[in-house]
Amino acid sequence: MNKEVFNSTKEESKYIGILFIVGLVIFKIIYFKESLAVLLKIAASLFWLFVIPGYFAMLYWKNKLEFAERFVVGIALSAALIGIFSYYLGLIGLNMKYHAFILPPVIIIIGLVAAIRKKASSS
Amino acid sequence: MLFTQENQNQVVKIKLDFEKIFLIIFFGLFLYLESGFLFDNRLQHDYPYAYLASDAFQHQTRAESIKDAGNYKNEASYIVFGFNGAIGYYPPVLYDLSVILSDLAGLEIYDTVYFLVFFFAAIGTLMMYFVIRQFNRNVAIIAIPISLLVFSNGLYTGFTWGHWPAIVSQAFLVCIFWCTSKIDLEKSYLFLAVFMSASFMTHTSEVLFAAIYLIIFFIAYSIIFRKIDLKLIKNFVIGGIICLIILFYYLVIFKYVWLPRQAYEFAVQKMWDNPTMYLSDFKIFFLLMIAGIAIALFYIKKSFVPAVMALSMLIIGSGNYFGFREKAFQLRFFWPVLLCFFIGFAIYWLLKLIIKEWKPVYSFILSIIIILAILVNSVPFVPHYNPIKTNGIMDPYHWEMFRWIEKNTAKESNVYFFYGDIYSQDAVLRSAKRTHSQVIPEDYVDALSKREIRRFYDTESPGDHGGGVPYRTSFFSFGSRLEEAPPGFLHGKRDICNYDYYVFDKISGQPVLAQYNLLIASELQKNGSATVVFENPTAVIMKNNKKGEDCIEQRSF
Repeated sequence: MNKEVFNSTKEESKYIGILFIVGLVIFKIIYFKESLAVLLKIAASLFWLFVIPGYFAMLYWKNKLEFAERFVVGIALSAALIGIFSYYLGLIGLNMKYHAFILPPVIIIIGLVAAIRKKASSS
Repeated sequence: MLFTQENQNQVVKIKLDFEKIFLIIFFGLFLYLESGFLFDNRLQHDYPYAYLASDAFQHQTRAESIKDAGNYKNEASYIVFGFNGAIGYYPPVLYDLSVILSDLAGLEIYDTVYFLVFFFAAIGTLMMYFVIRQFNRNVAIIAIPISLLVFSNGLYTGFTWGHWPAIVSQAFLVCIFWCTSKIDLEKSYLFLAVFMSASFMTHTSEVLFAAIYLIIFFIAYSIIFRKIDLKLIKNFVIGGIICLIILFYYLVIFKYVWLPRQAYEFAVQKMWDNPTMYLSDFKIFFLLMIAGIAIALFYIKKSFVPAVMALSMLIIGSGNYFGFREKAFQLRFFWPVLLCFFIGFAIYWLLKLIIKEWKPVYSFILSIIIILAILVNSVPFVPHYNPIKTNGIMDPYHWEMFRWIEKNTAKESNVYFFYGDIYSQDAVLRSAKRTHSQVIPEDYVDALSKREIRRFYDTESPGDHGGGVPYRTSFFSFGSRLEEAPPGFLHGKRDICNYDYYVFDKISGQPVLAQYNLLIASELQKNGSATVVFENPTAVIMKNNKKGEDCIEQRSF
């Protein structure tokens, strides 16, 4: 079961990789006065915060929604989750400078576990 | 390529890829038009760039204060008139995201918070594409370029003047519409709960709009499809309960801080003091919109979600005529996105009367034509994209001055700003990150016209008074520092000798005011009351050496 989920994720990770490069090219066109290093950092940050957690959060609905839709919805979903829970983590005393390293992995793990469990229960 | 059984998959794949390529190009174009010119084609700036009004600084400085504190338990004292211990009361999501992105990407907050508004506007537009696509892909392709009108005349100010939380919340509002288009999806209530919560915690009024939409959606669904859908009710109820759980803590703050101060009261407001959009501004698209409404209603069973969504947003966006006041006007910042369905549907349906066999390529061609019509200013009867290219209110020298104060003065020190052209947008002053006051220009001009140097000037203590500077007395009760403050706390005659630092602008659009600034500065310096501690071509900062004493001789000149 895990293998199935991992294989399909592996397949789609190629698309995500391509979209990262495409995103970087788009950024370079739009913000052409900016150095590539800065753009790379921003693109990587956006992917780490929104795209990758969003992708895993949407894995549960993989069979119902096509990749492009999951990709876009995932960005909004991850932004929503990170925005909300960062507020609460801050309130309980965890400095926000650590949130970028805590919240995305948590969303990724929850998304992955949910997808694996769904696959297990459906087969 | 000829379509055969053998190459069927390949043909379908090419068609799908073409759509994705279109979406990627559109996303890039949207981002380019909204932020490319405006940001001078860079993402990293030396100072808050292209900020055109006070509200933009309000959000930037609040996000900055959250980054400094590492959380949003409290408002920074310099935001709330120097009071300590005020709870963080503003919806936090946009700030949190900009702080996290700033930490990760190493960009300044003033860059990340602004960029994210544009980024989520683009994501909201793509979400709208999927809402419409659920009904008809061709309509979605034709409709989506209309969303570029969010950068037409009045609406662009939603971005540049700082209505940022409203815009980001509207992007989440589109996500809520998407949820209703996927109500059959397993556990779709999770989407509803998360997006409702995010919208509420970004800018609360959009959740009221979402609730109205969901009620209209449910009633219309029940009438049109002649059934009470239990799954729909279950989704709404479970989604609502999860949403309430997520929001509980902030909801308490909202209920006791915001609601008493911004309670609903019926008022008809025909105009707004900010630039906005009226239906007539859609020009020829308005006629198509009317046609689109009629056609959508005729095909309501098929076009149910986008039709009900767009109609609801049209009604709510016109809510200034029946009590929603400025909140209705704010919704209009996203009207081109929210209403594009009607226009796209009308164009598609009308052309389908002529073209019986519609090919997807026609939709792409139409889409390109609409984009060009919006971009090329000489095309008549069409609203146009208006690029903005400006540094904004801030400049490198003022920013250097603000940074100097932040880095070189004691945290508890207070700063007095004499006249400066940019200080009328008073949230700019929070950039100093110190408690601050500023001279009221009318009194300053009065003193100048009477050729007087005064020790007492009419003075304003600017700050964020929207929440009344709330502090907690228990979990469910709050006090208000502002309401408890003595009369005249915000405005009144103040003794300039009671401040630690003075800021004088050396340059002004009205040179005589800058000269008067420098006259007072030299007067303070002459008797040793104050010494210059920072100077650049635009501003001088002086430290008061005789705080509380007789620091300046009142006289005529």
